[in-house]
Amino acid sequence: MSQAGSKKGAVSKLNKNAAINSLIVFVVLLLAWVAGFASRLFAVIRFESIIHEFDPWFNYRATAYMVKHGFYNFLNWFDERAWYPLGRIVGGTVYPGLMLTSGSIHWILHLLHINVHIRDICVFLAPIFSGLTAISTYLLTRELWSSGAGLFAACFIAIVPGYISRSVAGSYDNEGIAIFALQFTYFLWIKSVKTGSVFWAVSAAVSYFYMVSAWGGYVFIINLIPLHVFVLLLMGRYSNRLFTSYTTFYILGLIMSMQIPFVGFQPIRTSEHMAAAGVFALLFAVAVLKYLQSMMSKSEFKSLVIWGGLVSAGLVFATVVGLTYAGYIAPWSGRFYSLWDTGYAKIHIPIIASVSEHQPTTWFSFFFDLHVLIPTFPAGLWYCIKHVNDERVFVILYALSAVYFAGVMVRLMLTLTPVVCMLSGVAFSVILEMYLREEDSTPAIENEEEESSQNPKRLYDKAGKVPKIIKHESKEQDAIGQNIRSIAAVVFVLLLMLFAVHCTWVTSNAYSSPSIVLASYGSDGTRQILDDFREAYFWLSQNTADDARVMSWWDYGYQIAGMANRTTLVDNNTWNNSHIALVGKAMSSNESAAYEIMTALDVDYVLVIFGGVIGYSGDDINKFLWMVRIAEGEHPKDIRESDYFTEQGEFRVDAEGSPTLLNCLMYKLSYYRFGDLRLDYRSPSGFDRTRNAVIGNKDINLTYLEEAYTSEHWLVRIYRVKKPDEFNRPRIPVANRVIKSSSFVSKKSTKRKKGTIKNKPVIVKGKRPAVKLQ
Amino acid sequence: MKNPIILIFAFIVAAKAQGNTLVLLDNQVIKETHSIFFKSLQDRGYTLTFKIADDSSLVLSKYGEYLYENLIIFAPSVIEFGGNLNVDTITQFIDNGGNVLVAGSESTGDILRELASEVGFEVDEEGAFVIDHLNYDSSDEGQHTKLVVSSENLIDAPVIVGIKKNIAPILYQGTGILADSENPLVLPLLTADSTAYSYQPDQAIKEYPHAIGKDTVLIAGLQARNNARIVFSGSLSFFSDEYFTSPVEKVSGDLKSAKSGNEDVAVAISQWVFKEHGRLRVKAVQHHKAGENAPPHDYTIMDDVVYKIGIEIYDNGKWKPFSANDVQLEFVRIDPFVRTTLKSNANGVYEAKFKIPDVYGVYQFKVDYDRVGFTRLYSTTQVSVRPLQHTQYERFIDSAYPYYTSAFSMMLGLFVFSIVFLHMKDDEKKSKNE
Amino acid sequence: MAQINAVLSKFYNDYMSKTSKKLKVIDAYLFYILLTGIIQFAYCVLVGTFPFNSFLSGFISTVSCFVLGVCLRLQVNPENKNQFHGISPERGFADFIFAHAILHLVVMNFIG
Repeated sequence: MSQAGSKKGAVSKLNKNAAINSLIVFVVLLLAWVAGFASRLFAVIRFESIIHEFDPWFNYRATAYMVKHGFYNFLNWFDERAWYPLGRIVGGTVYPGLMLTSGSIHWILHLLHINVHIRDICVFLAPIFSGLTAISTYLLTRELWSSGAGLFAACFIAIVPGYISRSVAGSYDNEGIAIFALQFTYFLWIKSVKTGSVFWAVSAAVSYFYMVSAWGGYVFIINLIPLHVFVLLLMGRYSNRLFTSYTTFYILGLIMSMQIPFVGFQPIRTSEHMAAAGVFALLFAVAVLKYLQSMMSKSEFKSLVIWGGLVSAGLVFATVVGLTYAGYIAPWSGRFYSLWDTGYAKIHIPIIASVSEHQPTTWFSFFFDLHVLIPTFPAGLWYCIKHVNDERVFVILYALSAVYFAGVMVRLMLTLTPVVCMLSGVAFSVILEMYLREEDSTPAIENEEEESSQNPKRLYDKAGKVPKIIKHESKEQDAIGQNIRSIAAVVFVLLLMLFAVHCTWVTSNAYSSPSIVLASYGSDGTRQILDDFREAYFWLSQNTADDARVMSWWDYGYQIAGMANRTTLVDNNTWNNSHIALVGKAMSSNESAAYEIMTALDVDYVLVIFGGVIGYSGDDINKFLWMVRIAEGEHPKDIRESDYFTEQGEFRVDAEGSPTLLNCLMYKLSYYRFGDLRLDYRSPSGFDRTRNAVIGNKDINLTYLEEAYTSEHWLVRIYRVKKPDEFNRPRIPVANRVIKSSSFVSKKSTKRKKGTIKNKPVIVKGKRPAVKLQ
Repeated sequence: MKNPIILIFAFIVAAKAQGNTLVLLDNQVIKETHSIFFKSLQDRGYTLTFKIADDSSLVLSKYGEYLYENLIIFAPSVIEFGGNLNVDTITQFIDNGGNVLVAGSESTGDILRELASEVGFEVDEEGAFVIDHLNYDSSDEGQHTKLVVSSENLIDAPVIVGIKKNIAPILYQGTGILADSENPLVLPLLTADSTAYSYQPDQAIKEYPHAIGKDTVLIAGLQARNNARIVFSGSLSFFSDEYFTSPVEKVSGDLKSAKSGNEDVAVAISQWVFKEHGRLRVKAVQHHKAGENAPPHDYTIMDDVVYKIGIEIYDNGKWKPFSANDVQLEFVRIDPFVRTTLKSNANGVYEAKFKIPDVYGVYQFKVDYDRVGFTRLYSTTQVSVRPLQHTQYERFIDSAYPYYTSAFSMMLGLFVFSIVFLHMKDDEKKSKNE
Repeated sequence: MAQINAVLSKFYNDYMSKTSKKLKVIDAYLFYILLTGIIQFAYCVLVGTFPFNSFLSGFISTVSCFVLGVCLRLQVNPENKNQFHGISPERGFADFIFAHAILHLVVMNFIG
């Protein structure tokens, strides 16, 4: 910070101003950090300090394992409790950056004898990193535009919902730290392009390495930076600085990224990384040409270029084709195809399409996540295009590609958010510079003061900011008072206030639910906590054998492993599609076919999520069609999606629903005993609140499974799979008997317990006392 | 995790009621007419409790403990059992490991038919006899229902019926049994000849008989999945003193014996059904890497592993080493990756050595020895097989030495270059200064 | 062909006369690296890529050395002074050593 301050100071003429500037920068960034941190704490305050959702549970479990067993054991961790019976090599299939980060924080704190539980570090890691993100965004924007824009951007990113959605307290996921790494890498990259210094390029590579270790989104960096270089080349902006920074960054980034076991040899094998290599080669070629050009006359150069160009072009083409044929370069992976063609995943890879995060983004969510930044961001973009230079080319490309990707997948909204914040920061800074300008000498100070007043606004209540705004306006009036200026200023300040209010509202309402604890509001406004998930997982951990294997849909795999500590068949690390399809097949087959699969997989318990009682819409019946689709992908002979629809093509759970659906395992397990349940006096029994229908199959009998546990609100239902030896005798069902026996009425009563013998001779009576005497 | 799950089904019945047997009779006469059979049981140490089947004080269990280990029902004509007994309690008794021997006759009541259906076979209708117009005894009374059955028709399992060759022809009179041929647990212990059928002898045949030829089972056995054993004979007289002692002479000649084979077969069957024969158990399971003794926490792929299992058989009240050459071991992860026949050592210890496949995961050592007449021997031990640790990969590979050299030469080159470069710079500066 | 030869010979002469001694040292160093890299690559083509990580680390280490050498050459070259504000040859060399330190650490980690 002091560095930033001193730079500012050098720019402004007065020492006093410099000091004030750096103080303001420092204060604003600190407040941005605090505001960002505080607004992410809703979940902790409303509920408690717990890990949220699904993936974070695995990250937490892995972190806890690492803290307990050490890094090397973590690297070699073979998790036999996941993906039974395949197992999972955790060290080789995880981005370890997150665990290492929180592990080292834990280690340092313990070194200082501050005994913090690892869970608390995990819960608060993302909010803390949001502050770092704000700072790196400030640095990046300062490099791109001005310090004022940087402060705006930092404040925006601290509270923008698009980023908060991934980084509330408890959402312990890769993205939380990856956005920081992303921004910081870009900052270092811009810095290195500007200076051409090897040092900055190496730093960018190191930061890139951290990013690689943290998130699969590193591919975004390794494609965007080459794109930047490439576009600069096309624009004729080649410079030796560019050469130095890119070649150094690429080659060091390449070898470092291969140190992450999960990434392995991918950077030289897969097509996603080939663009970077191609640009590397191209840059070399250009550099050599430039060098030769400098040494030779034009005609000589020409002939050399023609010959050399032809030969080298032919060579490069042949190698690429040859390598792809020989299979050294893998074609693009499915997730990337789905980026280009939004329909691709739906047709070819249902497992990718089944994740809600991979759905295309709606316009609503753009507004919801970014609010006022959406309209201002094009303005910033326009300013950048208007005053283009090397590094602004970068931010333009960044913005364009991120907008495209965010449109394709909701999840990639996250990559869009920082650049939107940066460009909006630019736009606001330009606008306010225009309207708040007092004297030519101190525009920047104005801006900063504006923001510093902006900040506490978001954090605390409105009372704090009002006087400051008035102060501004008074200043405004003191200056060459033009009404339009002041009105515009007020309007923009109001906009920012609205933004702050919106952010707070969205954060508290939409993004602060841990999703393992649900809250419902009664008619009188009282809040009820539904803790069914933890209740059921606790039951599992207390009442089942330590090595019991629990089958559930993959969404709940991490939670079962993390909270109940039981073996799962599939989990959120969806690396093996056929295994998931097997579980999907079991869920969508009838009971006896499912039983065969379950015995083959040694399943002990089946866990289903059922929301029909409380109207929870994210339950397994609503996800059921994905199970069917995924199962159909692998077992097209046994499972057909069309069987689960009515003739009209509807998916219905009531009496009209298709018989296949009404008899499949998932349906039975969800609605077992539900037909007898009356939720209230107005609705009939067996009324499903989620789907607003009376279920179609009310008397469900289970042969191969038995109900083991149902949580308080029926949200989680656990069934025990019977072992083969529980079907002890091969009973012949009455219907299959060849010899029909007459119906039998017992003559015994509570008093008379004597049986009957058919041709009981008289002798028997005479003999009976003899028996008794014996 | 070391998780040896060893399921031994051999011990189901608690040893408390050793040899206690409840015998249910139609009437006390049966006790006299079948005295040889009962005597042989008593001689072998069984405590027999005789009760009339409609006795109102009948109970199988008290305070949740079974009073008896075995149940003999020699009461074909019972319509309803007295006391607490009914089909449910008897099937429960079976599900809890009790052994049942039932003998019916042509007048078998519905309750026994119901019981038979519960264990996987059906008894023909009331009044039906197994009739064979070619293979009947010379003492038959004209209905051709007193059959002479060759010992060839016994099931091919010495554990259950003894050695077939030494057994004289068998006499049989009673109803036929239908066994579900698709059911692997049901064993047809004795079947009729191909010329036999089951029908009421005094009626003209209007319908297709329920059982014909070799499908007509005379004595059916079942070993349930919990190893409880049930034998159902269509003939009570099969066990009678009369049949035990009488000579056999088939009408059409060749089968003839001074004494029928009934006693041998009945005794053998009773030994099997009350689990004197064919009881196996796992004594101990060991597994470890070759050259070690204790089981490791987990195996690594491509390890050489040694698996040992000790198997014992129950013989005359003692557990003795069991010897066979067809015990197989499977190393299973959904599908078996390794299947090998275990080598039999002395003392009933079987051993296999193999290399773990190059696939990681959670595996099970699985021994599933299921032979006709023997209790099912099933043992699984779960182990996890992990991939190589990062320190376990091959290092300092010969063919990689050029790369090592080059990497080090790069460092050396850098060092030399730095010295030269810095030195030269000084030179230049000096030269400039000069 | 003759034309190309002529061009190349002119290029050679120009190089010998115009390039400073310091740059020539760097060029010699680069040439040495290039040679090592080519030998390695040829070896890999002949023997196969079996210890793939060793090959990669060996080869990438030469490539990186080459890249860093070129960067140093660019920064040291007085002709480029206007392009690299505030980066003196000394600063360039320090960065060069810093990059090498990181590079060789990583290479050592990767090669085994």
